[in-house]
Amino acid sequence: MSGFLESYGLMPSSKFVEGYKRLFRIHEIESTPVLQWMFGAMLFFFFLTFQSWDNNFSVTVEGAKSGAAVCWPYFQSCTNLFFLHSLPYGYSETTFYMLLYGLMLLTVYCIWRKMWAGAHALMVTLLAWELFVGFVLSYDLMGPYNYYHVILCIVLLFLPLKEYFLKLAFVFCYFISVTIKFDPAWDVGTYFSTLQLGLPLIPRELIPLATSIVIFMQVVGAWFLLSSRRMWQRVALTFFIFFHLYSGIFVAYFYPSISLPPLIILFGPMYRYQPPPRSKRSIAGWVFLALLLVWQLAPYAVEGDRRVTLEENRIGMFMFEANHECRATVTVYESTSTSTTSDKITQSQPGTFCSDTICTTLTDTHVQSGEKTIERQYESGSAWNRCDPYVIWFQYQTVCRQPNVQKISFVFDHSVDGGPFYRIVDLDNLCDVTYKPWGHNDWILLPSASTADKPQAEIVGYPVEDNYRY
Amino acid sequence: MATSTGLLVLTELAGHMPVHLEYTQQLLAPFAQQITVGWIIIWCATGLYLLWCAFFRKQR
Repeated sequence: MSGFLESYGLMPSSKFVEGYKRLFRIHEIESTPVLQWMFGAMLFFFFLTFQSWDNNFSVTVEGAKSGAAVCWPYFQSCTNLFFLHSLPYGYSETTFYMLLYGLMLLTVYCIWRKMWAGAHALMVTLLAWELFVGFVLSYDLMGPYNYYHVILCIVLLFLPLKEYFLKLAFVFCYFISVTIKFDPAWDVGTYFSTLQLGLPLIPRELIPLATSIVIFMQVVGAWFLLSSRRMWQRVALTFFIFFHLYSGIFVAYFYPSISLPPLIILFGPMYRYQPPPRSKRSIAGWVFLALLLVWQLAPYAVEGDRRVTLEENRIGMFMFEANHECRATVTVYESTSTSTTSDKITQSQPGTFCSDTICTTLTDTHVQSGEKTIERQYESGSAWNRCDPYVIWFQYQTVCRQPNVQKISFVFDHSVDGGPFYRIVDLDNLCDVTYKPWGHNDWILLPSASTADKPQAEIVGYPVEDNYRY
Repeated sequence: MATSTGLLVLTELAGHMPVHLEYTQQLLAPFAQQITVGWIIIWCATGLYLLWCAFFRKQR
């Protein structure tokens, strides 16, 4: 490989390579088998991530035009950056992802030849694309499991004392992500008891015990993974291996694939106790963990319950925060040159199984005396679908820009953990309101308003037991 | 949503709670708030103890 690059004058100078190695502490990877295995584990998850992103419609030029794209609230013009075309409109997206596939294969080759600086540079490129898509181009393409991947990749690629901080960051992720479980959904287990099927393999009476054990292990038990006492360390490891295998019944392959390989590599047969470093070199690692803590806790500063309003819900870990059910009704009022009166209603039959995360259950197109109204109703299809009113608001912004559209009314009912359906949005015209990226948006109503002058979300119904599906 | 029309039916049942809670949950539900506060206290205490261990405890 190096001979091939040299023959074309593409081989970087040894001075550059040495500087690169020093900057990113590559020698730690060269001398530590645990880090080399972690390289493989991170690369494995890049394959899984990009496999699910390849041929994805929502981050393409056509996706933006059709209103399928959803940008982050802090960068609502992200669609201006879209440059890929998905099939059947163009080959560029699949071509681009095959180039990434080539980079991943090249990374495998570099690992095999122990060219760790090359493998490192290639993985930085892969991480840059994951971050760009996940935090710039798309609001909803990355799942919480990608957050784990990004965090571990940053530690592996950029921080000194990689082995120690990988272990600590892994345990720290359990510790900070448990904060979303400090809620009756987990304390009492209503997340699962309000599902039709309950919790897999566990009697319904024992749901609160099972959820409390999980909380305890994330708060306290996870730290024993870092213990110098072999027995406690092995007990914690065994619990978390079982936990991730079990949780895969719900979350399928993605989450176990980012958690189990690092868990076994960092805390399995190759585990060695390391005391917390207090040297100057460790400052970057500690600062990074402190930033993670701020990132996790910042959304709690926003007024209202984030599980209901979904405001800032994607900041920090949000895995399994609540069991959601929702219904949205959007009515588009258009001017039309047609003068004939017509009414066409398409409605799902009672008992129809919703086969997607959110399903259109009713479309009513009514035309009368130069005005056309199109009413659409959507219902959520699975407990894990977060029911974010921002997503619908954003997707209809493209419709607002159409010249014949006069207004779009928007009603959104949301139930969390089997609780009442609250009408959290009741807008006459969604085109008239903006969405603030930070803080509470007043047009999203809170079930219990903080001040008397603010309108309060009203109860409009109670849910059936929800289901969980992909 | 279990089915695409389940919510429409249940909207008429406002005031009822059709979701069934087991005995253990009915028992714990009145204390849910206190349990949550308890976990937050344990979480903070664990975090402070670990901070002390990481930076101030004498290392072997």
